[in-house]
Amino acid sequence: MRLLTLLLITSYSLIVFGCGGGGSKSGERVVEFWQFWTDPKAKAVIEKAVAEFEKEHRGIKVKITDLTWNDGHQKIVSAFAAGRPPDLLELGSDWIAEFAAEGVLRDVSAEALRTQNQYVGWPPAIYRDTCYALPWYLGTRVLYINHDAAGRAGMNIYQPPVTWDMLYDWTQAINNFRPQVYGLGMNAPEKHRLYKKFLPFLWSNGGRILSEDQNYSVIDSRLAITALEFYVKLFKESMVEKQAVLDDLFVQGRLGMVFSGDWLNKKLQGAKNKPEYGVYKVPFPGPGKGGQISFAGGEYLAIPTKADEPVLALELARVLLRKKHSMNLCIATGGATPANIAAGADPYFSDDPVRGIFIRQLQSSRATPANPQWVYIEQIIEEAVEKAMYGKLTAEEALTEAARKITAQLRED
Amino acid sequence: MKDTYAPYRRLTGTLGLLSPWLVIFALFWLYPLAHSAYLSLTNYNPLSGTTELIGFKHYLALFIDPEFLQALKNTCIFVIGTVPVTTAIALILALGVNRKLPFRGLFRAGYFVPTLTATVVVALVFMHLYAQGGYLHTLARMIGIAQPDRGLLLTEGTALGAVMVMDIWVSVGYYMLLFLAALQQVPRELYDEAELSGASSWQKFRHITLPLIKPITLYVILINTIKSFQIFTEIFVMTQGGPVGATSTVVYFVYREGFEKFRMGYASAAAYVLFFVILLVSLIQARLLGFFRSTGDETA
Repeated sequence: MRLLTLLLITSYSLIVFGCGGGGSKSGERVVEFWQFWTDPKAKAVIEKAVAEFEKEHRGIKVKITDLTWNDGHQKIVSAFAAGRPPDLLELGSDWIAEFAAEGVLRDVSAEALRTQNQYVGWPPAIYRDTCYALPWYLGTRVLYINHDAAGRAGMNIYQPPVTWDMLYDWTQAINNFRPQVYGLGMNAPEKHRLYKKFLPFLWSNGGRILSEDQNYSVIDSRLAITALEFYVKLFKESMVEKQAVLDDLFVQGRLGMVFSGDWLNKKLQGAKNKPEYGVYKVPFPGPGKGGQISFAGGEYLAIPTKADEPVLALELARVLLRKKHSMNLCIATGGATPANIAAGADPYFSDDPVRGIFIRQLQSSRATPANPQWVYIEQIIEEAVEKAMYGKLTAEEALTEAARKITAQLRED
Repeated sequence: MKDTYAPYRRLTGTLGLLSPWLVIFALFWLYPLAHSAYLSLTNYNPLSGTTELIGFKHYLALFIDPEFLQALKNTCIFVIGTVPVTTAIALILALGVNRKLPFRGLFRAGYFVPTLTATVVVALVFMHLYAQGGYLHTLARMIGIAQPDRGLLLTEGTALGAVMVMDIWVSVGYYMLLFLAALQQVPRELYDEAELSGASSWQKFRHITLPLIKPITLYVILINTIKSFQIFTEIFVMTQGGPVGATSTVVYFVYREGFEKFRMGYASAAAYVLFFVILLVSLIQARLLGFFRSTGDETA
């Protein structure tokens, strides 16, 4: 019986203590930092910045936990639900309002006021006149054109498509080389991506998602409907695939044009047998109508309300936001748009024609409305676009339905 | 002297030895099961931690939610489309590799390999196979078959079918192995006697093989039905329920509601509806296939 008791105690000890993670050594202060940079080169930059922080703060250790964009949001919500969030947290721009509304993020308005002239990209971080996060790394989408394919199709690459009509004509012209080359690559109904591709058309045409006071949706406006009608028209002529596949096809020279981010530029730089290409601002409806407005997203640093080390977390955020680390992160990721203004003004960005376009496009880009219901609104927009793309509803019907659903969702808030 | 406490000591010892498993079972199975039943009756918000009891509102809402009904319909189509086909192909393959054929071992291993491969890997391979400009598209063009404008997974009419084909390809090897094990248990003498009586191959299969492998057939159908009702990974990786909900299934619906929209109560209610659907279908299948009847006479 004694042996049995001993066995049981050993088993339970293994279960109870074996499941636990390795905690910090007693007496050592640890700052927990959750972040999404898993690419080895980018991670190395983060680790270097963290090492600098640790050097400046003797006796403090930083524990980095990697998240992925696939399930990061879910893990963050679980951590908040369990009351065990990290001290510093990287957030996507469209999550800030959602978390801020639930009171799980600290007010960093004082820091924002102090540094407002050093960084850009503040709007998504502000919810109800309070700042809840610091902009770290921004991103936008531009139009990539395969000059080889366009040239073969008889298009003048020195007069790239600036208007929607030109974009449509170029798509059709390059399509004549199918199946070897497709004119334009457009996104398949991918969650969290499709809306980022439709919104530039909506915004460029002067459409909006929400009213000024964010009390109801205005996505069923005539301008928005026209934008979706054109998007559907373009869809019918395009190669439709997931973003990763479209990027690969462009690198292989099998796609004439694609809307993509700075990650594609990095991919192209490292590729052999890549086509001659250029990047351009997104087209607009036409002279006198709207502007070349793209989607702006980004990564932000936030401190949870229940952080154990909020002061140190802010110190760590300041180190990560320094110009040299912002620069190095952009160089490592191929990114072109740091939130740090001093880094963005560096010749590395301004003298490079491709990165320069990204900087210019970012200046005329727009972020999604800072609304706690965004996670639902995003899905409603994607469903509407998808229904119109697949002919389930006309553009008008789809957006009327979307406006009704979004308004109902806002009223639930 | 008789030890009156011996049975109790034995019971305590047994429970003691079982207790690590019992504790894990209670913690990681029973508790979540009971807690999700409770959640399905609430409006739990994981971020704010607020919980409001709302009774059966979620269950009632599910039956007028077009997205859930579409997911339920797709799941039923998936089950009806894959289970009989998988079972039939697995049985045919098992009959084939049970014969004395050259390279029999190679065939057995070959059919089983997809089962050993991670679903995500297989899904990625099939995505390339089905893509516009992918292998199937190119093959269809080469032999002059009309191709859809989009990849098979991006065409509303073909997306669910394409996922079903992949699922059949992946699953068939495992069930073939089960059938093969059952076939090897059928006494050879029964076939010899039937041959002496002049029975045809079909008669031998119909009157000897099928009755004797009935328990494993029932097992294959039940397990495959349950697994098919729970289809998720393939959908998550390949289609994310699209296009326009054509491949959305109940488990994918539960995932989206629970882990994207964080409507835990609603997701739990949907999961419980699926649980009862699976229970009902399994009971009907078991009854139709005679699971509850004694098999003593048949095997005597």
